[in-house]
Amino acid sequence: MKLELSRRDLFLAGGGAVAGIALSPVPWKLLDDLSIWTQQPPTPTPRPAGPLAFRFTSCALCPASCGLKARCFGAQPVGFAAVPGHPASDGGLCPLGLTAHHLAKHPLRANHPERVSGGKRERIDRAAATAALSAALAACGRDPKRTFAVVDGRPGRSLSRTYRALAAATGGLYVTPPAAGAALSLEALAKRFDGGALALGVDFSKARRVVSFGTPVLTDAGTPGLLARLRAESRRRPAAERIEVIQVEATRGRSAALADRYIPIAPGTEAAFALGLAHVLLDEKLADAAFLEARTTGLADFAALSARFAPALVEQKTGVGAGVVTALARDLAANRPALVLGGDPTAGPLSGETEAAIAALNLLLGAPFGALPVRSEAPRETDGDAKLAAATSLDALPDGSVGFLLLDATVAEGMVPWARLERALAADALVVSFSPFRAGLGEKATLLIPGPAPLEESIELEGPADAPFATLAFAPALLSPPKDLALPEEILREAAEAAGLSLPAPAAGARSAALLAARRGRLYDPAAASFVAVGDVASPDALGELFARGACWVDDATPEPKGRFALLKDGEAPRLLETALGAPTALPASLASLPRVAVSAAPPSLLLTKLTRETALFSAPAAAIPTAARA
Amino acid sequence: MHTSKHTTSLPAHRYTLVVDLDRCTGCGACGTACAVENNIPPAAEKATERTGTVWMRVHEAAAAGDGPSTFVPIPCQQCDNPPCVDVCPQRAIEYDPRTGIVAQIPVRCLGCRYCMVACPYHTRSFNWWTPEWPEGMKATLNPDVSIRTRGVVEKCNFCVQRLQAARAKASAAGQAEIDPADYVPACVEACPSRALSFGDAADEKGEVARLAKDPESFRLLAGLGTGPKVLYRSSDPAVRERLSRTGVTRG
Repeated sequence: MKLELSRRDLFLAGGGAVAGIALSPVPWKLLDDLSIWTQQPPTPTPRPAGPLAFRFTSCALCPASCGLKARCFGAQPVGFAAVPGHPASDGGLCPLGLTAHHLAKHPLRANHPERVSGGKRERIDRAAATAALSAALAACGRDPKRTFAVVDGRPGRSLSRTYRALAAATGGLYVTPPAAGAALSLEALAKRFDGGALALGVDFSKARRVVSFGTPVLTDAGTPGLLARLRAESRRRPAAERIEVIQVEATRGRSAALADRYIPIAPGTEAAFALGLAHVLLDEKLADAAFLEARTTGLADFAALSARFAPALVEQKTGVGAGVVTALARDLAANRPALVLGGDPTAGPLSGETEAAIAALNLLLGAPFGALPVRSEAPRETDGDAKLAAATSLDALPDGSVGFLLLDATVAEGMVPWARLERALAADALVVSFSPFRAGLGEKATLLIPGPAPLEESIELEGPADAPFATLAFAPALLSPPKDLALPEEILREAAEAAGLSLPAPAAGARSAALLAARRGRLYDPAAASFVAVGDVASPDALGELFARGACWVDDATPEPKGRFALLKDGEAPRLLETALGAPTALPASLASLPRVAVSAAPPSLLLTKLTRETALFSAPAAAIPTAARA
Repeated sequence: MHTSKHTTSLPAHRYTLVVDLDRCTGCGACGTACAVENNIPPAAEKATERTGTVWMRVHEAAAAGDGPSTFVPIPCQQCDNPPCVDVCPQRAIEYDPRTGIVAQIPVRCLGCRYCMVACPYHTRSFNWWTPEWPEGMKATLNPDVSIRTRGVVEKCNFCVQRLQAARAKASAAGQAEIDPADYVPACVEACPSRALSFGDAADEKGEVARLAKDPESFRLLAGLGTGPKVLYRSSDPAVRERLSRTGVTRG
């Protein structure tokens, strides 16, 4: 038979061969083997000049004042880690702190004084800024209807003393932000003590039940991650040792989502709920009788008040079932130590009456001096205090009275709402901000004189007011500020001198000297991960060296003072009754978005768009993370 | 214990991440620290949850009714039988037989995204945009990690640059093995509630090996047989059952 191959057969054979090879592993193996030769060159990352070193400081972005371990190349930090064992944070650090080194280069950073006129920002030089300050100070001195007021977000620093001196010299006011969240509950409780001034903290490690009326105890409050860690550790212990968190609030926030029990409640009815719990505790004789007997006054009056709040009435008022109220009260009594905290710092304070009901509940549960330990303040210099203006609250600012408002860089809008400040301003008032950012209150200023960004200056950092003990760090600077940046202390003194005001000379090292003189507490050296007693520190220089290495002072335990708490203050019962029997209120508007951003004066790093836009974890804070500014 | 088809025997080291879900509050510190350490840029203007570059994604697994939510951080699961390795035509993904780490090599990647399709955990990100940092912020980048370009896939590699640094340190000290304290990924270092533990599961005396055997530990989508080296723990049997069976997916 004759084999005839047509052109068609050749095409078929060729096509078949190509298809067969394509379907075999051969070309893919070839591609694999060749791929290493087809790779792109890597894009190198710029390496900052200088050797690798680890340096320690503390984060000044929120009141938690967490310890920071910075990985630096030369003078440039490239990353942060928490410091395990640090007395202020014990290994806690939040996303804001982890990105603190980005803020000096934030797109909203301002490096030069700017005046806002006609809605436009105009760059001015330092001399013009000083002249404007001095003229405003002189005007306040001349016209008693135009008060000078300065708002300081971190009282106790040496700069704070300058503010106080300036306020005293001009007859002005030195304003500090109000306590918020858990700190407000503790303040309300401490004010009921008759044994002298008292400060209380929160020691979650001593509690077995934590009831929160809106305070985000598991997310944003206090040391990052602390309560979540303690609770998780307790879950693998016997049932009697477990910590449980009960969140009572109108909306299911993040802390409520994580709580062991979430009790939804009609907004504004917290006082009725607290009194309902008190009713069950007293009615069933479950309250801490020994504590009430030894440490409180006014039990009969309070019992008479709470007797009106039977669980059935509480159900009617709050929307929480009577059985739930009774069961929770019994659970709290059976699992002491228990403590109660109130208020979301980002959603406005609870009413004074609600805080009174929460304070009474803490007393019935015997929380003070146990889970709510007494604490002292960090030592500070007191020389010349008589010549300085005393701290006052926002309530001291009458509407339309302030001709010159000075906002320190540490004031967060979430702590001092702009709407409240604006109400206090007189017509044509000068609003000066030392914020290094055109954001938050810095954006509201008519004259922005930017100071150092976070990590660009050494700063005295006291721990949060609700910590179980006082801490103090002189957080060393990690970055150099821009060369011609005006430091607030310098520019204020120049302006005061030009206005003919005399300020006391800054007392360098006075706080350290006060610390040494007090001979209290210990210093944690993060580099050595060890403590040294203040009494063993030989000299102010040695103390200065420790602080320059990022050390943190922590107070000793404070002895329990003598005295009693009033369950009800004079004339309080009718107001409390009226509040508790009142109708529910509207839902409070919460500013919460990224963790702690509402209590930070700095805008968040752009990198936190990872959490707000590229994941569904958090909503973006309003106008805090710019997108257009990135260009 | 899983074995890998990529080695004839189990790796000498089995670096493993254990996530304690009881502790996680969903604060995002792990993902933030990861982005800082690995030079992941801020979100591009048009980036969304589906198109962003995130190596450590934290999902909220809400319980029915008013029950507590669970936050579940999900990085690359570092599988012993990684489906992504098999499908990559460029050999841009390598399983290290000495450590068990599945490393991505972005310079080889041609952006076909087969690996993203193959990964059952949705832990890979494609760079849709050229990475950009604001003026001056580039000085804060980690010099130990190169910047990836647009058009490549990237993912968690257990901060392998830290392992290399630990090896260099051990080698300089004349030691054959690294000090375990020298190799800790950024997310583990950052977690404020200590929900993340990391270590060598091959070290039978180590904490991670103990946790890996704990009855409260489980793997996501355990039935797939991918052998993840990211383990999860929960004291709640319902959470364990749900996540080991279904996992948590994007969106």
